[in-house]
Amino acid sequence: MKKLLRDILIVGWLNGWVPLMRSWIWLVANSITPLSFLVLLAIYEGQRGLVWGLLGGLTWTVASNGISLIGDAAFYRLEIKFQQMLVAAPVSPVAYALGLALSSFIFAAPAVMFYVAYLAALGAFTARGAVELSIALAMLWISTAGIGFAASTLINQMRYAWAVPSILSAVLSAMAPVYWPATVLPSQYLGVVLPTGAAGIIGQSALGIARYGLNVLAAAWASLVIYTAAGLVLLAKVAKWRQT
Amino acid sequence: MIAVEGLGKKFGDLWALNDVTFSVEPGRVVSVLGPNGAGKTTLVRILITELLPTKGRAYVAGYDVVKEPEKIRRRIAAVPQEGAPIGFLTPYEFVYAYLLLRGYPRREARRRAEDALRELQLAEVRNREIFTLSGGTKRRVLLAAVLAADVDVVFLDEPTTGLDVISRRMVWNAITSMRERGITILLTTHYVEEAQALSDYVVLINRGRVVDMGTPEALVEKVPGKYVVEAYGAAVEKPHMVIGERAIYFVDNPDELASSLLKAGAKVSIRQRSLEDYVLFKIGAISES
Repeated sequence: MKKLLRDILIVGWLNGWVPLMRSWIWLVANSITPLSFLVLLAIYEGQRGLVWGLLGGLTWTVASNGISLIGDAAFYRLEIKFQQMLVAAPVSPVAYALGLALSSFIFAAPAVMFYVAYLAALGAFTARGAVELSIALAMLWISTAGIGFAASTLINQMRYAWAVPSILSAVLSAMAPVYWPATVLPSQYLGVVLPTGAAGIIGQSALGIARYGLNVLAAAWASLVIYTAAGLVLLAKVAKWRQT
Repeated sequence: MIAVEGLGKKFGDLWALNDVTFSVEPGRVVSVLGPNGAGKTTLVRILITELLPTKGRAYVAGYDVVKEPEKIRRRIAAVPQEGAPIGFLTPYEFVYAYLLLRGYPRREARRRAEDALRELQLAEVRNREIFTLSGGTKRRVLLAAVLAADVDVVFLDEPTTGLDVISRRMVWNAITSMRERGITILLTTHYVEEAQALSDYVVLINRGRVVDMGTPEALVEKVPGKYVVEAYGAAVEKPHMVIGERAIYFVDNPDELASSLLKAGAKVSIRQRSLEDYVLFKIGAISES
């Protein structure tokens, strides 16, 4: 267990911290889309839009972290064969996958801190709301990391490794109630179909910007639990060095 | 240190590797030679526990590749075919991180990384980002990582492909250094002179099967003639091999044949037989049959 945690931190350091310190381009790349939405929502909806934009940006950023490891994992496996070097070494594939997810989170950490600090400055958090949102976002991160790593193993050409995360991020952020309330859907339960939507519903309720029934909130938590469990199973099952 | 018995790997209907058997003593360098698609990389991938074999057995450092992969991974290191270090890291960071991942404490990893970089003449570029370095230097960074790891068995899958003559020799030096430390090395390469210069033992494979094996000297002895005459553009008698317009003869007395070929208008070269000629002889004969 100690070696597992150490390896996660090492991969997080070499793939997240070092490049972040060397170039801010990835930080900007990770933040630019949700910031654009934030600006648009703030212009058209004022402070109310600002809170929606900040919460949406927070959710989107956390989700896109997990998804963005598709590119790194595929690059290390297909292009420079770094993964093969680690296969021939005492490194756990689960530690490697979680380390990549951690490195994505390191890139996103400044943006996440910005959203959290801004929301706090606007007085959007209650203590309970902050805890609920934190748990929901942590679960969202694990579930999208599992989906991301599993998806990376299906990619056999690098050109797809750049396209797939963009598609997945767009689907997960635009097709789910991340920047908009699930109340606009024919059934609010449709909002929990994607993990981003489930986290969005929980976050909107926690910040008091949308009201949902207890059943919808319970469905959102259940959805996130299922996605988190699936993410962990994917990491454990798919993240294997051995190929048949 | 490496023992392979009847090893086979099937992809769909194709046997990429079939009935491969050989063994390597500890501290030796074995080269696996063969044309593209012969099965060299498949063999390496099975031995480093990345790929499951379809049949047969293989042992590395005394452990079964199928049943005991975790034990093997602690005692091996590999430089993959077309592998490269991570571009945004420096050589020092890459080697250091690799050693940390192998379980070395930080201080020990730092010391080993410094020593390996110095040994591979990478000290001057140790703090430059890897993407700014030449292809040969990048390859040496990979070798520095496995050199510093101090394992029992190292797998090098075409480590010198695409490198210039100087860089190749630097890689050779690293391989020799590892051998002197008692590390067993399995090397795949297309450069036959490299195998001849570095190896204690050569395994020649073609279309997934072992076609011959032995010491480089023993294999060279199997060339039917002390000299090789290569003629381009004309042939005067039945050559041992024909590759397009090129005729290859294995003879003990080359002068008379060369004169005849020159008179017939061929461009002629004469050389002493080498391991490359044995590979040509053996693989060429298989292709013709």
